[in-house]
Amino acid sequence: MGLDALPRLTDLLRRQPIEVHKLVAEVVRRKNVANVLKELRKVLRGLDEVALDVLSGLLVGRHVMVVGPVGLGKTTLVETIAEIINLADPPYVEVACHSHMTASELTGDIDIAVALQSGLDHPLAYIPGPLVLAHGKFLVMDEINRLNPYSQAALLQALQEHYVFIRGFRVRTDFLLLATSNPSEYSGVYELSEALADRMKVVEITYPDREVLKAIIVWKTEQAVEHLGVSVPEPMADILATYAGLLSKDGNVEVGPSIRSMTYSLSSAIARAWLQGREPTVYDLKRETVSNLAGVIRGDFQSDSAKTEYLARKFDEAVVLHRRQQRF
Amino acid sequence: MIELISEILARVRSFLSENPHVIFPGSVRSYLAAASDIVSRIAIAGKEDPVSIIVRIGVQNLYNSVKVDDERMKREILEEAFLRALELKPKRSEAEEQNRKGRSSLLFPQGHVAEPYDEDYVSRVIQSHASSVGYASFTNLANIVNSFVDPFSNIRDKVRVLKSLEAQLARLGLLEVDDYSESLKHLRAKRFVRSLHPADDSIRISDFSYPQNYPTLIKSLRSYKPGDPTSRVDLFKSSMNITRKNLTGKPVSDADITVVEYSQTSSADIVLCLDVSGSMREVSGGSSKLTVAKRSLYRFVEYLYATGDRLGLVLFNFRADVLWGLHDTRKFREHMLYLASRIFAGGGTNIASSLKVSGETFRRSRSQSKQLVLITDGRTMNSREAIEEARKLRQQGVRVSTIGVGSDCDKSLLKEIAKIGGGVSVHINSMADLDRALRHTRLSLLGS
Repeated sequence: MGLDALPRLTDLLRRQPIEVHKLVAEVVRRKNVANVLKELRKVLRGLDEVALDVLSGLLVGRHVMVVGPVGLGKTTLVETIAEIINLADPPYVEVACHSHMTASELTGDIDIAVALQSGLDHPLAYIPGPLVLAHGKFLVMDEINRLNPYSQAALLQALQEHYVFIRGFRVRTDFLLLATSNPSEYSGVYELSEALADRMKVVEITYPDREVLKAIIVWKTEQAVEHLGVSVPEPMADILATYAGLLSKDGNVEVGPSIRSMTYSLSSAIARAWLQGREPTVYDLKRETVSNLAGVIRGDFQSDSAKTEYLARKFDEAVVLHRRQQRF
Repeated sequence: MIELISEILARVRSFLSENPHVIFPGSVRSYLAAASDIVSRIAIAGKEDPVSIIVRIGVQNLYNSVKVDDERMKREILEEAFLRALELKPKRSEAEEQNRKGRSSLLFPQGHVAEPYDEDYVSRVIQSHASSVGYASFTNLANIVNSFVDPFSNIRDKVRVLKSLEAQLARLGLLEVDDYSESLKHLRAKRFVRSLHPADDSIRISDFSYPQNYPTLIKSLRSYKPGDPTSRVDLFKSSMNITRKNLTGKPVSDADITVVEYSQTSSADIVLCLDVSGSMREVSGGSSKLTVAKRSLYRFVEYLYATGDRLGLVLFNFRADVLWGLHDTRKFREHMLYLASRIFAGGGTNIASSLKVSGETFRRSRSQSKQLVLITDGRTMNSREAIEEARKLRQQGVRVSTIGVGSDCDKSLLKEIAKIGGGVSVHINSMADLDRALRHTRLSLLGS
């Protein structure tokens, strides 16, 4: 990236306001909602309705916060939507929020050494932050519930006044915020300030149905093992889907299984069997699932071994349930 | 269309402001955003039903802005407000409101069922209960019956009301009939005597009741005095004494005949709190947990017939309600069996409100020994309040025992409640052991 690509302070100060939601509306009108959903289905399945809820918020200029348990596709969803709408290149600016983020990390800062040497207008004098870079695009903030109050204030100012202050200079910034967050039961460190929360609409992603979950597992696992030349046995995906259903409704378990961990369990079971030159069995699946999920699942367990035992027991229940349903 | 949506949102706001649980009904910004979002969503939707769009998108936009006292109820409160605004959920009639508060009104004086019920009113009330299907705030049988009659009225009135409503409720799927005479036929063939301590570990008991109340019936063994009833003679001990005297050649006297004195077991007032939440609909071993529980309940009623206790039943899922207050088991056995056989399950679990309602039931009791038995298989949303209620019940002189079923129940909470309530905490693995557990809690009352 040459020096010309970096923004100069004078350019930033001369920015014109952009109405991002109108740009989004134009894109949607041109592309058609059906095509948008078709492109979404190449990456994610079972989230059509959620995507339309997010889209409808964006069309009227509302910032969106997607809430849901771990590993269900929140971040992938907002990234994909931003890519499909493709307002600019790159289509979105992503920030992974953490509790030690400062306001200047978000807004940007002036490098004093360069400024003293070459003046404020040198491209390297000013280091833009995500809030400034996202002008006319989407800003994706991952795990927004981890922001501390200082960075929340900087974000709020950007959302409210569409201006960011950097060492006294006012820079115009217009963007649409797409945030992801975990539900309030998980400790989010800080709570979102009321004013910030008020500006966002909450779209929830919940665990998919057994059928949808099974289809997703089969599809993702196929993507993972296609280079091995093996096919995905459907009954195993069914067992996993039943298992995930049991765990997600379990009162003992606080953090349930993610789709990612399910996919990895199945694909590593298949890979293991492939290494030994045989077909994958339920025992492989059980071993891989329990080891993959031991890290993901959180709950009220006495010890790690108690947790592993519990997971193994639940797996057996899932197999029994699966076999019982097979008969009907 | 924008006019219509604004009207709906204005109504939502007024309902939220009326709701006592809502601290802040939402900012103007969020309502404006909700309105435009709903319009935009309807524009890009395909064939989706606009009513569900309005509710869903409205809740999404207002979620962060509305503040309520209990965060877990926020979604339900919002959805309820929207449904009412869309006139899909009729407001409960005034008479129902008064019945819930237990006040007597001109229409429903205490214990009296107003005869001139018009069909329209009855069906509207039942419809409003049926509209809660699918929500966590699902109704239960006690709620339905208490919409027409005072909660603490005589069990005969309740039976009469339920009999008249049976047909309508069955049509709406709000009734689950179980033939109690069949299951009772089996049990009358067997005797009741079973050991207190089962050999297997299907029941786990933690006893927090006071140590001097060890269950025993025998108070003393003494020698015969003329005038003692012959039924009280302990035949075994007397025969051993006489045989010994005969073998050693000594003469037999009055002192060899031993008489057993039993402590007078005063009749207790027992209130059962039965969990009728959705988890009870699960099938285990051929029939649903609720059916097994109902059968254990019939057996328990029969058992109490023998001891002459008074029994009351409180059903709880989302809203707890008294199905029947404390009534003599001997006089009203048939009525109790009939009401119990019509219980159905569904909805969320709220233990604290069941304890509160049971507290009100005990206010009408003047017995020396009062016991509350809580039967649940799941977790509750308000454990802190449940413990508070248990404490209040203990102060009233009620002993609180808990029976937890299966592995999903909150064992520590139930133990805590039993500890504070000075009762027993029983944990059983399946509903089939429920009658053993119930009998154990009854026996723990002996000597108190």
